[in-house]
Amino acid sequence: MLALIHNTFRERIRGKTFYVVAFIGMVIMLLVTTGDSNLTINGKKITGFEQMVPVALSITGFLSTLLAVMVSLRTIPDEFERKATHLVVIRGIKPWQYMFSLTVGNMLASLFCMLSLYISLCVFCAAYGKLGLILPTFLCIIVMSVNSLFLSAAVSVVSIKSPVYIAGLAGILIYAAGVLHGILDALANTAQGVGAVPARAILFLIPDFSAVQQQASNILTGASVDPEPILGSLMLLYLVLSLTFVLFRKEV
Amino acid sequence: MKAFKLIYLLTGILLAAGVLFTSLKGLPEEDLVLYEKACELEDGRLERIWPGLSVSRYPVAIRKGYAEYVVFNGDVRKRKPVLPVIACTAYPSEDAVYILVPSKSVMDSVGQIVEGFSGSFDDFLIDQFSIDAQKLSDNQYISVLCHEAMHALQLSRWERKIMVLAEDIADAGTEAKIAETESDPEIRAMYEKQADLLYRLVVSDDGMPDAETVKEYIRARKDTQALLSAKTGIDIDAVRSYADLYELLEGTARYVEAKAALALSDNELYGQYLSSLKEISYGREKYYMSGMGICMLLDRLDPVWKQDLSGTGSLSLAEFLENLAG
Repeated sequence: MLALIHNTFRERIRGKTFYVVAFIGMVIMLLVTTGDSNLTINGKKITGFEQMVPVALSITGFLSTLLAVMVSLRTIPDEFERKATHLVVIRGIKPWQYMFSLTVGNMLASLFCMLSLYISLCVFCAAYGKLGLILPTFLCIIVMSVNSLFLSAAVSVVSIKSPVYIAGLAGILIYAAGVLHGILDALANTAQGVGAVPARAILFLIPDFSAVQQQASNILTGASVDPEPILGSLMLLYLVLSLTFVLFRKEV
Repeated sequence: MKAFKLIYLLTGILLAAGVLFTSLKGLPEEDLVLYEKACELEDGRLERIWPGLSVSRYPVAIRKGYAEYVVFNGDVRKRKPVLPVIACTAYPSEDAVYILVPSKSVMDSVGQIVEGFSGSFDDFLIDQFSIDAQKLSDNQYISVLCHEAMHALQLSRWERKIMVLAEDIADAGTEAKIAETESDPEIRAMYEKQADLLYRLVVSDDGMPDAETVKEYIRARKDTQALLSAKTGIDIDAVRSYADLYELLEGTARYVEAKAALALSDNELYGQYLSSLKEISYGREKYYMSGMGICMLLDRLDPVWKQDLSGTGSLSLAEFLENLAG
């Protein structure tokens, strides 16, 4: 299984991927952290490296989730199309082991992309002499990676049974519902009637991405961190990953 | 493979235990701290905002998830939510008038669910995708608690009068008909004029509001109500009662909310309440604004108007303003 995970990871992350993602990260960090920025939030102009760090982390989080969807989208459908599944299964590897390994490989590749983007922030922290920011931003990224890992796993699992475009759409919808989870949850709780129950059930199965991001922000600001949303997301990630034990395509 | 399965299973058990443990921890400390800060305003500041206003006098039910935590007399009691939906409100029960608010984390997610400011779409997007998605400041949350405490006070003091006022607008279609007419350009222009007059009166530096401008505001208001009556076919008295009712209920509560922000020395937040007066709003929301603005004018015209309001037969803020302005 480890060999399969390693192989999937290597296939997703070719040598060039790291350089391309890191380069994109560098360009973004350069744009965000230098020059006379016109960025304003709530009418206040955002200037100075320390003020820019949360902005840079927000962008990193956003790009990482998009990359997680893109990286995970084709892995499993490609395996079925190339009939590689057949070759693997006849060698005694069980279908669940294969699906699990491909999904974990996708998740690791997503994590790798996120860390590649983060490396750019580290370089800028060092360049500005703000080495003290490296540890809190690293912890911040680790917490935020829970969202990317979940998206990657969810897209991988959907792609076992569905075509690529359905998996991509599912990824985007899950991301939107995760980011707007608090609002959607409150709306579902303020609504009554037949639609409210399935809405609450669907939201129960999607992690609250914004709550996880908030905990990452709390690490950065030194505020107290609530483990509940992080553990809740990890539990859902675990459940999604467990689906790989039971899902497989008929045509191998 | 057995070792993998065992580790995987154990990981699941540990995660489930962690989720269960964290979900059982009860009311977040943050909410208790904010409740206590609201109670600290009872050092005379709340009494100056509105005589008899108090947070600690009423049980406050804070909703988090699918549980409610009733904070009262130093105790926190967990119970099933009374309402099927989350809301900021006050409601009379057999034993007491309860204040009902969602927890701070829920309010952060949605802003002020019923009572809040509405930001721009750009701000909304920035906020949702930003790493720090905090919507509501601590002072805003405390102000909302005071807003609901005002509703509790209204229920304790004016319940009978409110019922009488509500009888005049008993037709359930009144609100819908008025809302439909609000897209009319003529009505919109009149709303705009009213909002502008009220905003200028409230923020003017003069000690006393200019009597002529107050009269102009009252005239603009009456003209708008007459036009609304003509366009909707609703009796003018019902249109007036509708405005009076919501200005009394929500306008005074919004006024308390704004003054609580000032009592907390949050001038920036208070400034936001003042700025909201010049925004054109529709539906019930416009009465939150106009009611608050009128209360602020009454403060300058007659410092003891709140006691007078309790004694008078009428509970119309606009009528009160008209009488005081001569």
